[in-house]
Amino acid sequence: MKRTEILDKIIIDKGDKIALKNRAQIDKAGVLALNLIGSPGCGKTTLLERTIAELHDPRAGSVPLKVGVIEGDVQSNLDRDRIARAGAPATQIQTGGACRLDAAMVEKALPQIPLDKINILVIENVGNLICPTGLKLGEHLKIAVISVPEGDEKPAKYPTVFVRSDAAVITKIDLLPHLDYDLDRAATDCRKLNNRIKIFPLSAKTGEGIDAWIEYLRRLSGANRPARRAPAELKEPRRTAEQK
Amino acid sequence: MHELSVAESICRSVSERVGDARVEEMVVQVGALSGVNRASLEFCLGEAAQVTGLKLERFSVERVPARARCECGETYEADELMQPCPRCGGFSRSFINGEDIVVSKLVAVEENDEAN
Ligand SMILES: Nc1nc2c(ncn2[C@@H]2O[C@H](COP(=O)(O)OP(=O)(O)OP(=O)(O)O)[C@@H](O)[C@H]2O)c(=O)[nH]1
Ligand SMILES: [Mg+2]
Ligand SMILES: [Zn+2]
Repeated sequence: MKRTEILDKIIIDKGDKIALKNRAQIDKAGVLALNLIGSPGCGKTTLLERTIAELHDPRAGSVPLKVGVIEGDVQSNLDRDRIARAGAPATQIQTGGACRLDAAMVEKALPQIPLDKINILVIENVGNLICPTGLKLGEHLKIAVISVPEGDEKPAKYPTVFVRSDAAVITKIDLLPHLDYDLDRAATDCRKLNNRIKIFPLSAKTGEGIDAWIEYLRRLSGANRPARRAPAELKEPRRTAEQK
Repeated sequence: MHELSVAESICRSVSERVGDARVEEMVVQVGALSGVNRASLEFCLGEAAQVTGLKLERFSVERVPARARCECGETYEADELMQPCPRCGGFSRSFINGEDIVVSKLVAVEENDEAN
């Protein structure tokens, strides 16, 4: 009988290797990729429908940007069909019970998106504010989506997603007059968790606040650059840089 | 419950390392920002060992707090993620580590070594 103690630590790969492959493929096409994370019904797909409309058919003076979408749900193709009706190429991942997308699922879905014909790829994660947070899919940015009817304590109660997101969209602000929602409190808590987070209060229904969000996407997608490539600030994932 | 698939990845990584050997003891550390629940993962590991064929005897899962580094120069443990910097009281900090899932202790026993 031989007893060995293995002394070096084994770091478990959470799919990061596949995520890097996805990322390389996305970068090669010069596409900006977003991972959208929020509770069921918070308004992710509606935000996307509005975003697609604004980017595909911009007001005078702006170049149109094309969006492609990978939809993640436990079941059904409903969200994919909504995105297709909005005029963007879309594919659906059905997780069959899993509470979040992983990099391997995205790897399989990627060939169904014409990366050479789009500027921005959005991956709408399974409706869930907790579980999707820990996994990289190959995105440049994580976007947390929360909405007014959920209450202003979401950042305080579900902190991790805000720590790791680059931006937080607070949607359904058209409902503010009907609910006791303290927008300042939600925003302040987001910033306490992550002082670099960008915050976009908006309504996908009325369009209030949408311009700042669209401007943010335009700037990051580098649409006005001569060569289509990911902006330099996106190349180094900032939170992992000092990780050991 | 994504902890089951995490548990399976852990068992597979350990199998790659120890081959057919029996694992007498294993300690897994999950960071506070790893998105993994300590108790659920512990519950799932026994199941995952069976599914993957890993001979796993004793095991435990520990939660490791996240560390924060403030722009003022202070580094501190921030298990409560909304905790301000203890030195300057501000929130200008970034989190370092806390995201990883690590097998920190592993004792493997090879039975069929007749030399001993
Ligand atoms: N008033 C108002 N309602 C909204 C807004 N955005 C979305 N909704 C409504 O919220 C409900 C859910 O919206 P979805 O966009 O389907 O939500 P989702 O986050 O994609 O949901 P899942 O994919 O199931 O997680 C729908 O009834 C939308 O009409 C908004 O800005 N204002
Ligand atoms: Mg949706
Ligand atoms: Zn400080």
